[in-house]
Amino acid sequence: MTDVDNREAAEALFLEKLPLLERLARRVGRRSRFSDDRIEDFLSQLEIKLIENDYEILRGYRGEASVDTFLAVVVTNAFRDYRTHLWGKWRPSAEARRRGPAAVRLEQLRRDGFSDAEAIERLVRNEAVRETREELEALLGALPARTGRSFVGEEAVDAVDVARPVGPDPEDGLRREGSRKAGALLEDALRNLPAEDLLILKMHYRDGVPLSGVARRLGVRQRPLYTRRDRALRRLRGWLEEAGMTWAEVRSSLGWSGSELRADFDLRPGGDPATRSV
Amino acid sequence: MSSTTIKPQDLEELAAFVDGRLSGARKEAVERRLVTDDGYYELYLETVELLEGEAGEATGPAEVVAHPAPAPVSERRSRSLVSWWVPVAAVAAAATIAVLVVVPPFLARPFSVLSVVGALEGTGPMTARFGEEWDLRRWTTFRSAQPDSAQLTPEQAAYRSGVHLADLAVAARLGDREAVAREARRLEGLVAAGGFLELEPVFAELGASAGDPELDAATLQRRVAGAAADLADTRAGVELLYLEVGQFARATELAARAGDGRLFAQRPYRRLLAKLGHRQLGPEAAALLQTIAGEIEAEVPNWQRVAESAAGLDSALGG
Repeated sequence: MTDVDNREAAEALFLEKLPLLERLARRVGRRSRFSDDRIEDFLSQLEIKLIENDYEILRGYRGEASVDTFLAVVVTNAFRDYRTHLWGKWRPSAEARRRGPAAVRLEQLRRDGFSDAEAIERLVRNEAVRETREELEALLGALPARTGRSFVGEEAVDAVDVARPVGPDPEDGLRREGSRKAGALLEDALRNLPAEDLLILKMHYRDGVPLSGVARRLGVRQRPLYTRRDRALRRLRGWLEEAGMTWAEVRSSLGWSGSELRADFDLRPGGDPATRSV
Repeated sequence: MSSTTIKPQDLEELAAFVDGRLSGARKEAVERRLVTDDGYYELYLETVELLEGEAGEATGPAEVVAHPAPAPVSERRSRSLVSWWVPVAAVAAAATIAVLVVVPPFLARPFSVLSVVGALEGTGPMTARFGEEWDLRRWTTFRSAQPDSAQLTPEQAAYRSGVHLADLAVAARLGDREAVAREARRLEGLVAAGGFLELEPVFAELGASAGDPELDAATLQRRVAGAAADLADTRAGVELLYLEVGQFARATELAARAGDGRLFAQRPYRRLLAKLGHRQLGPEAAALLQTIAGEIEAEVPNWQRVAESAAGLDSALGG
């Protein structure tokens, strides 16, 4: 274990890793299409952050991760703070969330300064989405136009329940009751799954990441993930049926299209994994 | 969406998770937080993406071009765990050797056409190598000629998948990217029709990446190998057998049409030929396999006969 518990050791680590820090900072900046000036600004803020309080962040390093990975997390986190400071907290629009992962990703790329054509090109070529170019163009056309960056306060965002229909629908009482029941059952069932299975399902179904991508991100073998996903889905369905609802009933109650799991995995106490889903 | 404050000590915990150094309750705690805390989850995803970019650049400029999606996290993990994996790897290697000694090679793993098509030489379009009509096959699989892959039996679908897999492997070997993309699309349709929905994105991704001019030939071949292994992994029993027969038949036909005997000298190819000879594939198929075996042993093989026999397996299998 490599402890950096004193100022001298932390400073030596900082100086040794300065080239890596600069490289990482430039990479995250370029990924968000920041100008060179803006990247330099972030870099100086990052360095100040690492130096302040006698290298407090580096002194906190306990050696439980490789130092390069630790610094990558530190740089990413600092950049997220910096980006939020500049742009405000970005959230996908309700329309994008309603239309699924590809729409959210397109909106995110727009946020990062990609033109519509570039965003489509990137999704088709680098991210192998299922949608065709024409479908992606249609999605872009359906997304709300955003003027500049979206500056949204955290409280205001959390107060918005994006998928609940606006306005009362008196004829929909029974369906709402069914939806609430299905949402609660689904939440219980999801909570019973092992954490790693939940994470796999979240990446795969909520974010539309192919299992090959999930495997790469989690650093696990791809092939067993298929079995694992199917087993998790079978268990979910089994629990729901034991609780008195078939998978078809759950899907219908929650208004899901297709046969796939569409939950949002919002499993906080009081959160609702289903009602924000499409 | 939930997002909680990320404390300094959380950063190293997440880094340790990325490195694959957590286990038990600590690992589960991080996973559960990744599910419930979107801020933490996004930090994780962005970190992994950053490290992948860094790993890609570290392999040098040529490799960066070759790997738009760079080294997987698992490779980073293996580097960070180098202190203990050496003895573990030694034990594993010894165990593998022991398994190989007691398990017949053809039972140890499914036949992969990829292990033998490397013997085919040259690069360029498939049409230049195998003639203009290489792609114009008339399916008669099991004496049925349904054009619609949705109507195929699982065995027929497995056989056709094997044939397309061979085309895909040969196209990747020769660097014919258009053919790779086309075969990947066909396989995508076949696996979807067969209900193997999890494989759809694998072939969709492969088809898309074939058109990427920055992707080098070796990487493309590795991706084809990965997709082929995934496909074989979803099949068992008779379906796996027919997947292998399909690969064997098509690889044989292509090599014979090109008059290229190197394929037939490969040990995996000969092992599969012997294995298929012992399976109950019907008298007609057995006769064709014998013809192929006889011809490739001949001093001057009749390639035309080999190609026709291999193509004939398609209709003979139902006999």
